[in-house]
Amino acid sequence: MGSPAFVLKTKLLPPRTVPEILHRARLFEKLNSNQNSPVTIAAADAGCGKTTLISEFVKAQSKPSVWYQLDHSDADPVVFLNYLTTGISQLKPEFGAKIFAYLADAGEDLAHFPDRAVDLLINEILDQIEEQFIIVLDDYHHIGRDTVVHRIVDRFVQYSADLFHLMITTRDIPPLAIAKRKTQFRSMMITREDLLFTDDEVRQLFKATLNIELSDDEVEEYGKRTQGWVTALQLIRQVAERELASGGEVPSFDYKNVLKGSELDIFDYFAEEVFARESPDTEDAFMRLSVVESLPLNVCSRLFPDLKCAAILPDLAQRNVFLSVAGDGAESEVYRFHPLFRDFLQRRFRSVKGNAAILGERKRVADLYLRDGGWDQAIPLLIDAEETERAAEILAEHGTKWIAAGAFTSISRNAERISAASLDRFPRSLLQMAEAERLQGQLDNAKRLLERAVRCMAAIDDKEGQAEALHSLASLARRKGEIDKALTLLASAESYADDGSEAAMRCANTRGLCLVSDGNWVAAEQQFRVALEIAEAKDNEQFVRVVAHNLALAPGFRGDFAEAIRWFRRIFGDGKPEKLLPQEAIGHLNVARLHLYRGELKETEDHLGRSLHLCQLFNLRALRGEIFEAFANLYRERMELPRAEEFYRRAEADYSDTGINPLSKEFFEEFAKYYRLIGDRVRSRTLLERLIEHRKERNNEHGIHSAELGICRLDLDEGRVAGLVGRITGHAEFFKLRGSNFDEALAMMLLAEAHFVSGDLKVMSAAVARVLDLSARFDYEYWLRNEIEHNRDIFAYDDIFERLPLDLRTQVSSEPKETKPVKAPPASTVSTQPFSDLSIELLGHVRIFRDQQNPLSADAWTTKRARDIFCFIASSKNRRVAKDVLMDLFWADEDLRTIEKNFHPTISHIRKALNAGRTMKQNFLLFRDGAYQLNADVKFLIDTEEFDDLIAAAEKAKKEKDNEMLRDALERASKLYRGEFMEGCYDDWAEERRGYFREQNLRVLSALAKLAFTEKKWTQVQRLSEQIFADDPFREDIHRLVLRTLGAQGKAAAAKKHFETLRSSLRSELDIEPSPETRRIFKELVG
Amino acid sequence: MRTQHQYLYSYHEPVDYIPSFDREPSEPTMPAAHRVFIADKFELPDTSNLLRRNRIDDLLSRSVRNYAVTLISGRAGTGKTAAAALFAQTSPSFSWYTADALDRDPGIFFSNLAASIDGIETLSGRLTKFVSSSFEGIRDIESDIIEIFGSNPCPELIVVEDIHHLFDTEWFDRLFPILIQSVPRDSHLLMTCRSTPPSPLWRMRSKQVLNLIEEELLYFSFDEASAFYRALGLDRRRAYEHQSVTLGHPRRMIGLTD
Repeated sequence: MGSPAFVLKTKLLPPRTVPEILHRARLFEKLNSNQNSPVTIAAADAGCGKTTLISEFVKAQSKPSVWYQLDHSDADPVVFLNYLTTGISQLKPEFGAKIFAYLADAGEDLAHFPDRAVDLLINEILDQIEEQFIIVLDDYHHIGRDTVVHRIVDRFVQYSADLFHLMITTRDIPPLAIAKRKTQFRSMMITREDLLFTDDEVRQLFKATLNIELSDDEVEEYGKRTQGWVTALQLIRQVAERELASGGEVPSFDYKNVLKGSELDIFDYFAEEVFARESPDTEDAFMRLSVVESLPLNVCSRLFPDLKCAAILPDLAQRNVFLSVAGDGAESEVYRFHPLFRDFLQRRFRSVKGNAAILGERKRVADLYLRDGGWDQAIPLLIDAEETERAAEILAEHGTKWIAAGAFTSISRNAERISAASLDRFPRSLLQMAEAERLQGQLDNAKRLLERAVRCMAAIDDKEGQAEALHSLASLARRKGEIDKALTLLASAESYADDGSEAAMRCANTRGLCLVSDGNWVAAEQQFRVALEIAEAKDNEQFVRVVAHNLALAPGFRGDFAEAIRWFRRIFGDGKPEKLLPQEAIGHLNVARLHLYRGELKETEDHLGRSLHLCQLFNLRALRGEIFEAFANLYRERMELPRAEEFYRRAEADYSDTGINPLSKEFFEEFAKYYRLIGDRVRSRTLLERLIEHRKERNNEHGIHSAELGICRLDLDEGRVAGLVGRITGHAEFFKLRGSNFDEALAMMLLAEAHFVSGDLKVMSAAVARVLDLSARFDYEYWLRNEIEHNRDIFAYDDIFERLPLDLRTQVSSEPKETKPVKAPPASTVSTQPFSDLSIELLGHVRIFRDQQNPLSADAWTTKRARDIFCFIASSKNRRVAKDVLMDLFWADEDLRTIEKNFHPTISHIRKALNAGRTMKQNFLLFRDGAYQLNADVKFLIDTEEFDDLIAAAEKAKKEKDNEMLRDALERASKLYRGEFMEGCYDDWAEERRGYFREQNLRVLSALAKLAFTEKKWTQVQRLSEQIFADDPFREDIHRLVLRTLGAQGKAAAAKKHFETLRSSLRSELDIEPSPETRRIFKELVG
Repeated sequence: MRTQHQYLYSYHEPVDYIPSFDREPSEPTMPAAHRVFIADKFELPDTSNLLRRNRIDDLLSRSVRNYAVTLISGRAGTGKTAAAALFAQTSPSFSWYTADALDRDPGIFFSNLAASIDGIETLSGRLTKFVSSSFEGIRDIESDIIEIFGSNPCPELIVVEDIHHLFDTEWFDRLFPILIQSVPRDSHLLMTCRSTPPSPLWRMRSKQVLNLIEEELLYFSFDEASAFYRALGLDRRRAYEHQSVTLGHPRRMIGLTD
């Protein structure tokens, strides 16, 4: 997918190099020193040279860059992100597919959750961009202070991951979170004071550009008068330049008086000077061109055919007459007047030619724009030309396109400047304004506008418009929970809407949602079907998806899973487009659950994978717990119990991380089933009892019955049958009354089992008949077959057997299936079982796992250096290493250019290797405050850390004289040490760490050997000693232990032989004798 | 086993994830002005990929000759719809109506039944709004049915598919015998359902009014399985194997061919 059509490429063109510019070394140095922080902000008034400085700096870098010139229309998040993504896609053409797809459909989701879009964008950057780059947001102040874009930029900066550096130019300090962190902010800020020219720079400016040597007095005077203001100096320089060009001397004007004025006065004075020296034709061109904000060359030639723009604009830019140029030197060249100069020209236009002339020119240009379909550029010009009625008409006609492009602010900003009377005359403009307000979450404003629209539509008898406005009002009322009001408004809207119209479609869907709120699912379903029919007839794919999902909910709730899936197929069926929307994650989760009920396990896994993928893309942390829970249910169904246990733990951890009470979900009920399955009925019961208590507090009747049915199941397992039949019957009746067919089937089956136990076979038979009936009607065959497998005696009962279809009879008569043994850890250890997102084993050959079955292969890393860097960080203190340290260590002998070229791709290889082939992509490595660190939100198991922890635990146990704990800790530590630290890696840092762990391991072994000695486990002492000698044959303390062991066994000859061998090797290798203590022990042993 | 409740999540709201709905029971009633039916409920399913089996056609032909009503009962995937649809095509005139959960509203059911028998005109190609003063609610099931069957000439074959959706309604017990007894002399009512109706059938069966065809009769015989596999380009030996394993259960056999 390419970038959206609404993007003006010219806004992404960097400024062209200005001739005769002064290189500002001190500012470059400051900018350079800040490159390791995520952002640089140049904040100063107009004319201070921010843009020039940043553009020259960016050009001097070897990194690629994205230049984004903002204006007021960029305050909308969709517009902003579209431009930003388009800009980045200039670095890599295939970049942006995901974010563009999301932005195309995001709608109000983006206004509510801008973070999701940023996460998606950052994920795509991490996925696709390997090289560090710079993003410049020029003229950031244009978007104002009250926009969600600041939140987007904040998050973008926060998670920049060292892949890009953001540079912002702005006239005021933006309301960004980073700007509030004052200490940090100072270092990343270029202020007006920084930008002002120093005396030396003033001198250099005149020397370098005009070859004029200013005297100290002149420098001091210019400096004092202009305060180093770049624009004033440039003005003086330009006037001087012209004087020189005409053969004059250094300027002879009375600058001392001029420079006493305000900056505006100074500007006007010098601009007048500049202006006066141009020919009358150029003066005329200047004034007329000033009516438009930016001047793309090709557009200018069409708008001003008599001005020879292709000739004069490049010439003016070349002469630096307050005209900047952005572009690539080819067709896409865009000129912009300096903002102060444009103001000056417009004032001048008005005073010289009169107000009518400037209005006329604006209207003429607007007409030309309209002729070419440029309604969005025409509207502000028409407003400026005081043609507000035409502006309102165009807004009414084309506003939907602005909304579709997410340009809500453009609507509001322009509409604010149109008179109320004009808007009322074209009330569809009010509809557009209301929609823009609604999409920005301004519901009260939207309501006011819609009410006004209804009145105005009635006045001009626009029935379809009335229907649309009334529907929108109904939709607002529904969201506020005013269902009766919403239904009244809908009835009114429908009376104006044509059958099969867009308004009728929306009304039906909103009515359906109102009915859902009222609990009237049947009626809601009818309404959704109407909406779906119209949406399909109108080929409105987006609406089809929304309604189909709504339609699937009702059968899903009543237990008609096949019917629910049938509706979902309209969204997720073969060949249907994948939508990158957060809501689709919920859709896939729902479908997965439906498939699980039907035993379609492959489909379940597929949809869960897709749900998790979207969850990762949009960082939907609140949903992740539920996806893990559903995965756990799937694994439980497959009897992969350790995996099920792991995923229940993951779900629990995610609920906890996101502040979600798992009692508010199905989690406890599902987990209870797991515990029952592994035979831990106590824990199962406890969970269910807690759940019932919680649900009672919330008056969740259905949930109470469901959980109590679980308790009944446990009671039956444990033979507590008193009163059980009555309780189960109550639940079954409740479910039947509610139309919860699957729950009723479960209850009836349990009832049949209870009757079977009590020997009441006739009633049992009736209960099973209902089970079979429900199962046939709603196709619960998968479930029924499982029940038959577990309750053969019941289904073999004559009355029941005869009711079964032929194939199920065959199942009853066949040999029972060999059920897989339940391989779950003992219940007592279950809850302490750790799980990790990534296991890193460094002791021995490096092994890194996302799951225990599949360690990452060596070639997954692209380069060994990538793997080693990751291992280095993982085994460093706090799992954190400064970027500079990594550069010094891993590129010690290479020049800076090579490092710059290779560093970020290597980091990118790490991230990719860890996520290769994974549905669940995770950001394991973060960049924060100049350092790379393992993401604390991810669960790691690192053997070196565990090894150190076990040694610490052993030391503690030793102090506390707890031999059992001591042995346990030592044995576990010894088991972890599979071999030397990072075997096969010979870097100095690895050798250093290897030495440490080797020493630690010897400590462990010797402690174990000593422990074995005290426990008289002679063989163990011998084995452990040999392990120690393999590493260090001269450990005399261990030799003494061996001697004592041999002595304790009465093996004097062997002890003598051991001592002699030791003495001989000490003499030959180290030229020393055994220590006195060793000799003493030997003497004691052998007499 | 899992229970099923509160487990699906709404999709339509942009505001984060909607928590589970607390469902309250409601009466399935709607104002008449909003009764709606969808034209594809009245369309014969696509039969282009279905295998016609003479045995089944003969079975149904005999049933039509000898009974007023045929009820085909079988679980999902046992070939009820295929049998009915292929047979309907052999009938000089027929109407088709697939019931679903929404038809539990008696007004909607009768409206739809009437619409299917009358033949329908749809707005916008597919969508029809139906407002009938006759069926504001059930006044008298008998007179309503007589009105439906008597108002226009009825087709020779009236098919009502998936009637099991109505089994749990409180009015079904009253409806079923009246419906069966009111079928016009020159018409035959063919109904399909996934399980047998809760009403006692034996009396109607013994009076040669109702013929019940159970799912086993729809299973593929070995010869039919061979023909079916031949049509799919598969060999006879596999047809035999699969027929033995599945007992000729259509969905399971098709599953094995995948």
